[in-house]
Amino acid sequence: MNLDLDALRRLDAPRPTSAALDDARDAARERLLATIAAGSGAPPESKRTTRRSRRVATSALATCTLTAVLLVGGLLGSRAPRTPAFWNAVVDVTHPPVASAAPALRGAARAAAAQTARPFTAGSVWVTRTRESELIVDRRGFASVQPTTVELTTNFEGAVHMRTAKAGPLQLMNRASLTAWRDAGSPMLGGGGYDGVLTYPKGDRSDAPYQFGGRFRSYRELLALPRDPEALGRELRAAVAAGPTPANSWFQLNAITDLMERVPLPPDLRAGLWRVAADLPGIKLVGRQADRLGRSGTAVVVKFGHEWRQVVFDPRTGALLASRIVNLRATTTCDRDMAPCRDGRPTAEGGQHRGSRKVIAPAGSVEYEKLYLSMEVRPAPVSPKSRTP
Amino acid sequence: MPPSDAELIRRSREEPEAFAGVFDRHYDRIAAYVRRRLDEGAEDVTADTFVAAFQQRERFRAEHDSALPWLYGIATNMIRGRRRSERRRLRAYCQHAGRERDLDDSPDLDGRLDAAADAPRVARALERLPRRDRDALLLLAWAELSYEEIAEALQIPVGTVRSRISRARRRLRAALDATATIDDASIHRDPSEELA
Repeated sequence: MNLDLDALRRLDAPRPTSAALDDARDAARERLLATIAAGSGAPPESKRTTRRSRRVATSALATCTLTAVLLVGGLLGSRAPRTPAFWNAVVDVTHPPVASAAPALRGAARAAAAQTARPFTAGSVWVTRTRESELIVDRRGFASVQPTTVELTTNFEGAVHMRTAKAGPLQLMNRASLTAWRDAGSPMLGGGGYDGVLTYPKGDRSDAPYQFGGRFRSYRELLALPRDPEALGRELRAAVAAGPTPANSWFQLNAITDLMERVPLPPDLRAGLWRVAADLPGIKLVGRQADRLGRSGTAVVVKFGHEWRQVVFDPRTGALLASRIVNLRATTTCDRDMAPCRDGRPTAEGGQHRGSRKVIAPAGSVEYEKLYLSMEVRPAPVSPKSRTP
Repeated sequence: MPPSDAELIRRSREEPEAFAGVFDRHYDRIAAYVRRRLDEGAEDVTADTFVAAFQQRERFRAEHDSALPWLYGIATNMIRGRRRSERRRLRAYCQHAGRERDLDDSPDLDGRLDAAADAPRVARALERLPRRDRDALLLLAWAELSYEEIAEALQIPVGTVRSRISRARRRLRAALDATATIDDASIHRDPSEELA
């Protein structure tokens, strides 16, 4: 008999309101993240300055993923880790989601609208930290990922300071990749990733902040965007159409998440963007999903060609947690040089199909992933010049 | 398949942000446990628990998949530093016998009356337990840990957990039985005898 334990279990403290519980959780999370940020310190700077572009403009990935990774893969070289680590990020693509994502996204809009935001002024900077991972298939057919932490500090005028650092060891795709790589004599791998610092002025790059689709706007112009989802949706479509990519749902969702990341938007504008996302044709609900950091969120997906673009957000705050590109087809080798191809057809670099195909990355492989670690407005650091009398 | 706690903590050595996954997964349970044990400052203690866990993550033993027992252990240590708050919480249980929520939520009248009657006795018995016995018993009853997990949380052998819980439950039962006997006697006593 457990009457004593039953009696004990009936003792319970009064439960606070849901709002109070949420506030306490958010405060505790912020405290932990502040400790993490203070404890981990800034990534080490390298003297090498890299010109490799930040992979914010995922639109580029949709059109030239493999070509780009082949080039990068051939240029960079990395040692594989002593202790093998595997990327192994494969999404089940056999049952495409069919439920509408609109209710979940409207929920995100309501949650975003209820948040508060610190004002972004000339005396402040917008600091974002993301973890970017891209599956690189080099010309020998070895697939690997080098996770990289990217910290962007953007000032009010739109100048950006970017700091990057490798985040953890190089990861091979899976155990089969490791075996193939060892059989080949453990060559240097083109896993990408880099340590470096780059500063570029306003409007100097295609992925500069304050870019809305294919158009460049000032921060004030962005703030003046309409909040009404219909009008904002029209602005979005026109902005995306002004760029080099199709103005479809894939690229519109891309523009929405890019804007949310690059610019400190007021809550009502973030809410408006989530409502626009809710109305995008073909956007589907994946459901609850944990990202690679174990954070739980709601995932939605849009398909374009043979790729899915997934976005994971926190339904309690409307904050971005992750975005990823999933290849719906397998990437295989198909000639004796192990050059990659898709569905048996070699890519331009791959030559003719002369041998048996081997799967490098199965259908559903996550080819690109960005984890949103933190985004905040901070006071602008005092520059050395301004301290000089 | 989401990564295990052990995997997240291992990753957090190189990617500190991975530890946020441990927080998201376990915050609610740790917070509910601490709230049940402390009258005030429960939010701070819960937040401190996760900060301390992050700072001590090298001590987490990788052979355990779940970090939950380890987190309960840290929370228990934090609670030990708040004796006054814990005492106030236990006395609140004594004073608010048959709290409204219990009475409203219990489906049957007997259950509601039991809850109302037992609360002060249980709370008084808990207050009188040695701290170490109370920690073990509450990790069993409120945190719903197994004996092995309690051993892991408190860093003591399983045999010690058994003896502490056994001792604590004996005292708890004695407190309940003793009071019940008196109550039963008072129920069945003939009122005329009191007058006589």
